[in-house]
Amino acid sequence: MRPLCLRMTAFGPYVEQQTIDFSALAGRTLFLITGPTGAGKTTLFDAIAYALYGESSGKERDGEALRSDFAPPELPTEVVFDFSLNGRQYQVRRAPKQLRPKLRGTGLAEQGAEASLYFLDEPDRLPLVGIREVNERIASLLGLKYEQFRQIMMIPQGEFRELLVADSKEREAILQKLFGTELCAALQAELQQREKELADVVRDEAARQDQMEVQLLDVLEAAERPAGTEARIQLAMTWQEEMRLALARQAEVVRAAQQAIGAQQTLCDKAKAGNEALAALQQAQTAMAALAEKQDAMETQKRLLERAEAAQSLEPQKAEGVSLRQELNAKLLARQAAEQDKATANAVLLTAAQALAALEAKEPEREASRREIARLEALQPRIAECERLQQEVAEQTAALAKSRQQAEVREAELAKLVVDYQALEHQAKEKTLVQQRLQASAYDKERLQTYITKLEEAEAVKLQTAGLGQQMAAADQQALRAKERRERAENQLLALREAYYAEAAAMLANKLEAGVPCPVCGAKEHPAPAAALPGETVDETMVAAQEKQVQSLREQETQAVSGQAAVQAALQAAKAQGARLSAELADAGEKLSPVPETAAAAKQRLAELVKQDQADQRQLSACEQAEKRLASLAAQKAALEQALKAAQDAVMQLAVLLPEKKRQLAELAGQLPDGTRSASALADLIRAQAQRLADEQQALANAQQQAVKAQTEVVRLTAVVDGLTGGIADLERQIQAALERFSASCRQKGFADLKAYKEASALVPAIDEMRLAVQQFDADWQRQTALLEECRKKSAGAVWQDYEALAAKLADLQAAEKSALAESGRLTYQMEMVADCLDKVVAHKSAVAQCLADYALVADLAKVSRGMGANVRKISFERYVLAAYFEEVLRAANGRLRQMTNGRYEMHRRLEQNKGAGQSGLDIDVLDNYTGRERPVKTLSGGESFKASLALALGLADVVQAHAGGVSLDTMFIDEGFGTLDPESLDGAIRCLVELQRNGRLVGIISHVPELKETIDAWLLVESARSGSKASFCIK
Amino acid sequence: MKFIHTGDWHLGKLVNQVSMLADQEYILAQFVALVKRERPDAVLLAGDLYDRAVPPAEAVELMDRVLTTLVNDLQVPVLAVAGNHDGPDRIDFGRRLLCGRQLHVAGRVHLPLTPVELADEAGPVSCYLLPYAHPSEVRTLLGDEAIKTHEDAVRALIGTLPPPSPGERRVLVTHGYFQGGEPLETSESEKPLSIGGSDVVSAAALAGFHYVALGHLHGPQRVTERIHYAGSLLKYSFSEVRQAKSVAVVELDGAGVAAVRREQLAPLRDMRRIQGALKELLDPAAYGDTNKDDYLTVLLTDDGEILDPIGQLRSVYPNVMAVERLPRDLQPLYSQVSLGEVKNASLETLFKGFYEEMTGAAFSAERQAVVEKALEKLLHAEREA
Repeated sequence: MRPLCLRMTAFGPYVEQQTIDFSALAGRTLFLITGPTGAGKTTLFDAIAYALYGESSGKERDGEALRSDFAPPELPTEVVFDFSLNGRQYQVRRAPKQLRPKLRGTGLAEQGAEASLYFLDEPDRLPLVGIREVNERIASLLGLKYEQFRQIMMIPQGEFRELLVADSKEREAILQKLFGTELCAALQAELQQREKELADVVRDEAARQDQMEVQLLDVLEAAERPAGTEARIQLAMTWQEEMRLALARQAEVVRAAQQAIGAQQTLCDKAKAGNEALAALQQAQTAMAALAEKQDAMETQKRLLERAEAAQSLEPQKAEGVSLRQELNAKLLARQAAEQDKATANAVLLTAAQALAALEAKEPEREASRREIARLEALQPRIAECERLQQEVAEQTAALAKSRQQAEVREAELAKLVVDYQALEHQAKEKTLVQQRLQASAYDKERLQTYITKLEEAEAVKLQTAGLGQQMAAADQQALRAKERRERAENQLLALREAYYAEAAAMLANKLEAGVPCPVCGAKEHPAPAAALPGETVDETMVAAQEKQVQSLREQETQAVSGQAAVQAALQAAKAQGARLSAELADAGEKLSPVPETAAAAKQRLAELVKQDQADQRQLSACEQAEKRLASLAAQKAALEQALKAAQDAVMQLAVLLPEKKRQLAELAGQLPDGTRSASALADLIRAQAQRLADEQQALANAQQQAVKAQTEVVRLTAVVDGLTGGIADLERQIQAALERFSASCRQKGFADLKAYKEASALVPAIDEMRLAVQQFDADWQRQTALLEECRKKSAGAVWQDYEALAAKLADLQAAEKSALAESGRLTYQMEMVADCLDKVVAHKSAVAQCLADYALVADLAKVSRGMGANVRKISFERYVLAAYFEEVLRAANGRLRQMTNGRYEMHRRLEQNKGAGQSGLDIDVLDNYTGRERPVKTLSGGESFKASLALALGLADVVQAHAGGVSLDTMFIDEGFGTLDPESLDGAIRCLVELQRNGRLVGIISHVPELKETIDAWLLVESARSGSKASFCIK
Repeated sequence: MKFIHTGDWHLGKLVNQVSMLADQEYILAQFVALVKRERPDAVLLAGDLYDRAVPPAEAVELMDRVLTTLVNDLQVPVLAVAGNHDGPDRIDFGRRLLCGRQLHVAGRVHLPLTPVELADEAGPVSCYLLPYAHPSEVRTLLGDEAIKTHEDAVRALIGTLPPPSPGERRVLVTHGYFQGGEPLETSESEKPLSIGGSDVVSAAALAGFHYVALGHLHGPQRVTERIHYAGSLLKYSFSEVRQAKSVAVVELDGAGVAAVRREQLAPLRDMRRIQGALKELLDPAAYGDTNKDDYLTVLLTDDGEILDPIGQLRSVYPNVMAVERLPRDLQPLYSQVSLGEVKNASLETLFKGFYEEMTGAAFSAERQAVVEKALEKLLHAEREA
């Protein structure tokens, strides 16, 4: 984790936003944070720790109290920390819970703590928002939780000794996350959980056992209630023994009672039997007496029975006679009926014959009917023809009407079409006109256009001329001035020349001596030598200069003059052009009337023309369209005309045909008789006639049938009557015979006369009953006799005895037996219950023992795994596993410690257990090579312990990274502690730190120590002021 | 019918605190390209799709992208089961919604076991999905108290299937530890299925299938001719350094004979083990043209003290995962156990050593059973989280 930039606002002593850009270090990996006391140095570390984890760097400062008291309420506290980790860049923003002014209204509202994490190399990715999520993500990114961070990356002020002097348990907590031994801790927890569960189970089982035993004791109804399973079991068993004896005794009692009962029972039985026999005897005797009384009546009954039986035997004969008589009666009745029938049949025959005769008489009528029918049938085809014609006529009339209508419609259409056609023609003609107009307009436009251009040109030229005029004036001026200057200069030149000459002359004059010839004229006398002019001496150069000036001015003048000439020429040209253009304009304008004044007016005219053109164009296109339509309309017109002709033809044709048909129809109709115009009516008539004929014929046939039937009936009935008469005579004879037989039999059987017989036969229905009664009586008599004999035998020697007394005694004995049995049962039941309970108790006892054994096992494991109980060395399982890593940590730490203390100290893990109750396994001892002995780490002095802590922190960082390459700890912050070191130790410490940063690790140190200030050249300077502190990098 | 058989993706896994997600994304892109080339009838994912029951959000998002590409863009059906690392209810989510779109997932065992019906010219192929299930779950599901071990559970579940009809071809996708006659290779990155008890199931329990696509062991290997482990796509521990990672392309013909071909995929970074003295390793001649970005575990053979070895190594090999030193001849950590053993042993072995060391008493079999049961419960609880 490399810090990139830290921005704090209103945090601790910092009021305005402080930006600490670590890129100012420019590759330096060791920097010093320095400043006066209380300026806010530790606050910088606080800010980093707060940004990452939401906590401050040390334990003493509360995260929420970080807001700066200097800050005004509108300035919220916020920390923004940019850092890079494993090649990616992140930004954390955090704000604590704070009061800020309300958005609406006055006063302060509380704003909750916020945190968000931005991914700087993925600008599209949404930031992670929410304290919990951000904390989790940072913990997983860094691989360290806050506590580990404090031990390894940020060593806080005054607390650096923590890791060093922590006891085993605390160190275990710190190292657990780093080396991933959570599963060991989980195992310990799981075993403990199991132990607790089993303890509960044991407790429950023990309670259940006790409950069962109490139940057992209740069942026992024991007076004394001992405690303890064994004692109770023992009690139960002794009780069981006692009970067994008691039960045996009771069984004896029961057996004796049963015996007594048996004896008594036999006595009772015997008495009962005797009493019963005597009673039976008595009863038999009374019954016998009753029967004897009945005997006489029975005798008469027997005799009657005999008579009735005789009568019964005569029954069949009598029946025969009766039946014969019945038959005779029946036959008589039948004959009577038959004779009646015959009479009716005769009557019927008579009527039928009469009817038949009547119908036969009607024959000639029927014949006439037949003839009529034939005639009507002959008429049928003609009528059909007539109808057909009628139909045709009707059709044709309708067709004619329709055709006429069609013709009219067509005419109308045609007329309309013609109108349209004419209109179109008219429109088409206009086309030429429009075209002409267009052409004319085109010419006009052209002319206007040229006019406009010319006008514009002319105006342009006018302007030009004016301009040129001005130029001309200017050029004239210029030429004039040039000339003046030249003249002036020339004058000057002349003057100069004169002066020069004068001077020269003067010079020469000076040299003049009398008598010497003058160089100029040669005279020897010099009356008036030239004298020097006052003023400046003029020499050649001046003259020459002036000559040059004059020359240049002359040139200027020529230039001006030429310029003037040029302008003039241009002006002339422009004027000429102007004149030409106006001539052309006049030329162009003449064809236009009225001539437009200005270009604008001309343009307007042009626009109007264009508009007109457009209208004309539209009209033209309309005309063209009309032409096209004209062609189609022509075709349509032709078609319509043809159709019209056709319709009219049809009409004519029909009109010719129709009267002919009508004539035909009239002819036929005349031939038919009235009332028979339609074929269907005729057919009906025919049908009716035929039906009537058929009916009559049918009637005739029926009458014939009837007559025949009546005849046969009469004949049949006659035969029947005769037969019956014969039968009757027969039967009468038979009856007589039977009667005689019967009388004979009666006398045979002993009946004096019929009356006697009748009496007897009246009894016949009751025969069965009587027989039964007699039989019964006989049987009873026999039975009773036998019974009596038996009873006599049985009761020989019996005596009446008091049965009740005996029975009462028996009952007593039985009651006694029952109670004895009940007692026995109760005892048995109780024994069973006790046995049951006892079994349960014993069985449960072993279950409890098993539970205890399990518990003991698990408790042992749980305690041992936590470093307690049988664990002699007091090392928990997790610490056991961590010890391996710890060894490595110490080894790595020792490398540096040796350097810092010049080989004096080494740290070792303590192998023996701690004295007392404390846990052990991860304790550190220091080997002092001066004495060669180990001593606890707390005995180191302040400075020595700082070195040891530093070494330990660095060693821990090394091992963590070697074990899990994904955790990268390439930054370290150290807050104070160097002040406790003497100069030599300080050197050692500094060498160690320098070594660190050589491998790329960034180290930040807070310190006042002057040597550090000299050695380290990158400072983060913190200054305090009354209105808050400021921090900034200062690189020397 | 052609299948591509893979599994043990372990998305979101951290190896030595390094997130493997970027490498997984890379190799999955290769895998998708392979699917595109081969045009199989289905992709079989045999479990351990994620590394934890509650995977990190980016892992879920990667899985979403890959499955969407396979199913929507390439139109290849995907059949996936949950493994012992996955959270079964989370994998099971949306099962009935997704199967209509040709993404068939099975997180928990649901009875009756209905197969996914695929078809080729030779006829139908029934693919059964059997996710990893702890024997206690199967016991409750079938109501059969006799199921105690993984073998019982698998046999019982397969026993609920109807007997195969003649000519029917059957394929099974499942997750577990199955052994045929040949010895199998295990690695450190596989979480054990049960502690102490037997988690091995014999291959005979898988009779009746023409091909069984297995997941759980990270080395690509075969159990029998018809039963194969696809292996993981990447090396997840240093015990897998010598394995050649691949996926299996299976061609099932009309008669049900399976021809298995292995296709290797190239990872972004390899996992290697190097050793030597620190100075040599930092020398450019040492690494030559090997990929310096590979994940390395480094064994330093130096004798003396080295300060901040990992910082120095990181300057050349940025992805160093672990640094080991040769065990030096110091007093052993405990009377029976040495330092290296502590770091590498399994937890139950460690506990045994711990107990004996601390109490001086023997570690009886009953105690062993209690510890194993506790560890198994923890393992199971992690899964059900």
